[in-house]
Amino acid sequence: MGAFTWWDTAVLIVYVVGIAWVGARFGKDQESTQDYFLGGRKIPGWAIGLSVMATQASAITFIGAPGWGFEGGLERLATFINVPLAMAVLILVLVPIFHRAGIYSIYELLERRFGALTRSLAALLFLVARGLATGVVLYAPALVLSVVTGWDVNLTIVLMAVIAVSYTVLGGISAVIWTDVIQMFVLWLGAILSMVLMVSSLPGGWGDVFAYGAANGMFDTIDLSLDPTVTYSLWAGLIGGVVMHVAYFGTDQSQIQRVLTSPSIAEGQRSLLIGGYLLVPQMLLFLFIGVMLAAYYQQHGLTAPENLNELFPRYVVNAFPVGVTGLVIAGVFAAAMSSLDSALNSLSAVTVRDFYARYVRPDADEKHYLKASRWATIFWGLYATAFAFFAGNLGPVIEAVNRIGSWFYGALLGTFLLAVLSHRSNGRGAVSGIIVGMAAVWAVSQTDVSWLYQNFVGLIVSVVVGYAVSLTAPAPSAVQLSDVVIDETAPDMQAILKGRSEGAAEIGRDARLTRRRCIGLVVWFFVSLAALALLQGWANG
Amino acid sequence: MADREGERRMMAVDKTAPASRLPRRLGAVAAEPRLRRYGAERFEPAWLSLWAVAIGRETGPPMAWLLAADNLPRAMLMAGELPLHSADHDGVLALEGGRPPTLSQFERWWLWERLARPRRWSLRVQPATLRAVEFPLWLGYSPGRRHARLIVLSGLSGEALGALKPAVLAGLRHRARAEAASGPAARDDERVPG
Repeated sequence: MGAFTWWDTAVLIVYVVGIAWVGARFGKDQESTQDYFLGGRKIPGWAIGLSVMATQASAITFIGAPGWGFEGGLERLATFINVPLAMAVLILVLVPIFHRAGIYSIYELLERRFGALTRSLAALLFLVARGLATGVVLYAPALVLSVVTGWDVNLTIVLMAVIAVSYTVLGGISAVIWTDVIQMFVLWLGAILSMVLMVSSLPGGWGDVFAYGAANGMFDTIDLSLDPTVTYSLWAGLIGGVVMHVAYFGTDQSQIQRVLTSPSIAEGQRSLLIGGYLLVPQMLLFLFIGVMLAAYYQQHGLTAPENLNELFPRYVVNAFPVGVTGLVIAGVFAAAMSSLDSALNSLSAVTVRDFYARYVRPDADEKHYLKASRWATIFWGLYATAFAFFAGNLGPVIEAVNRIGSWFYGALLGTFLLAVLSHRSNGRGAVSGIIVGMAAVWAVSQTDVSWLYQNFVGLIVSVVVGYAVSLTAPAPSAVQLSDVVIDETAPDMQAILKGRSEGAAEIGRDARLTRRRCIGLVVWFFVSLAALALLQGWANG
Repeated sequence: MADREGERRMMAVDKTAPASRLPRRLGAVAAEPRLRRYGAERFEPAWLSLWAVAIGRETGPPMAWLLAADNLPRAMLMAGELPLHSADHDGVLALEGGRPPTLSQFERWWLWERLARPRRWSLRVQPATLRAVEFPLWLGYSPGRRHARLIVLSGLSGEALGALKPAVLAGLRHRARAEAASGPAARDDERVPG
């Protein structure tokens, strides 16, 4: 114990090479071809869910959340408690429309609805925001590598970038769902093992952790303050957090891509459902590890590292048995690769589809576009690398990713909601809404108002301004509304459907599947909230 | 426009030949509860005519198929062989899905599929395999609060296929207009096969 030994290095290398081999091996045979074409339909739902989780946040959560928990206890769960509600909104409102529209990039919907300028602007915002966030995703594993090897973090950033870009250009392994599943188990194993080791090193065991957490207000997750400057109040989490997560999971191509490529609406909804149920418990687990680390540091009289992102990797290296350290660090490394691969791929796909093939070379052949997508991957790798050098100054990595998104997400979501819900809005309004919405977010960011509200401000301003400005230009045509207006509502179609329905066989009544799914998520939200309230009540006597 | 027509001719297909059908794996008994979950109160089977083209290596056998019509925004992807059989008249509602897409439309669809999940770059559209197919559907009708709603369920997998809804609605409208033009005709699609 106490250092990253040669054994750990060997385990790390074997694990990473093994995962790459599994990806390459199963990426080539017929079974995997079926899996690729069927979007994982033959793979159990729980495995797809874990794969979604691995792509979304695993390495970032592993590194960032314990630092977060160490600093502020469970209060920052307010940022995530809303995820089930956000998923319900997505499943109910946006996913059916995206799927029915038959789009590959969500920004296409904006072009059909509002025109090319809105599509390009929205896609550009995605590229800028996701490119910056990818810098943070790159920084996280580089930091781990730097901590365990003692190398300079900037050197490890460059090393990680080279590996990630090469890996993505060569095809990546994210298509192989089982490798993601292995990674999730390794990370969770690491989390549970760290809890066991920490508790066993404390004289009072769990009692010490709970006593320390309660004494320091670390279990105060629900802050009902109406003061908008309180960063992690329940209201900031509910009002701003829901908007942030609806926008993050619904208007960010890197997240919604899996839904768009799923063969049916139900399958697309399923992947969101799993995230809706698992993200909060996962975040709770890692924040709780942060609380445990705080108790551990206090009991052992240790001084926390200046950069709290290093907290958990350092603990793993110092406390875990030889070999297991290597395994867990390898899990972080591989999970980060999976996220990076997915982010670089979506950045490259949007660059080619929404810009290059749209404006520069609309009629090139496939080989040309393949080459273009590889150059785009390299470009975004460089962009992310440049930003990764600054990512360490942004605080805990999860918050950094969310803060970056908050500059853009509200206005972007407002534009999508205008497209879907308002049949009077048009391109002029949409562009004005995005610009003024982002300006409003910038103005709010100069005040002490919680950054979580920035998403809400962006949304409201973009919708109100977008709608008002739309009134100064002609209403959109029926063709422009075709993706968001259900064809069957036309009077002649209603008559046809009623005529056919009369002659069709009758079936009984039952609850609708989509509604039932959403109710489940809402119930889950309240169950989580109640559990946290109970914990807080207990901690405060 | 002329190019588009020329390209359609290049992908020449005998439109008078009867379309082959994909098997209706989901019977009425299995379709009914699924449609009920989506809020349907009445249902019936249907066939939708689409155009299929194979995906595979240049000289290899088909590994997957793209199914589409020129008025659909995106093609459906089916893995493996198409289990086709001849289209017998079974009295079930048959809907016209649209004209065959051009080769470049198919190629472009396939390109975006691969960009979204960047693998299988070696597989190409095989133009010579273009054929008309009839796709099995179950149509559910829900009265809705304000408007009657249509639910489109795949007769192959049982999944809701919202992406095919525009083609089904266009097919229903086309059929209703044709019926109106030729005078009221007795429905020949009353039977619900199990």
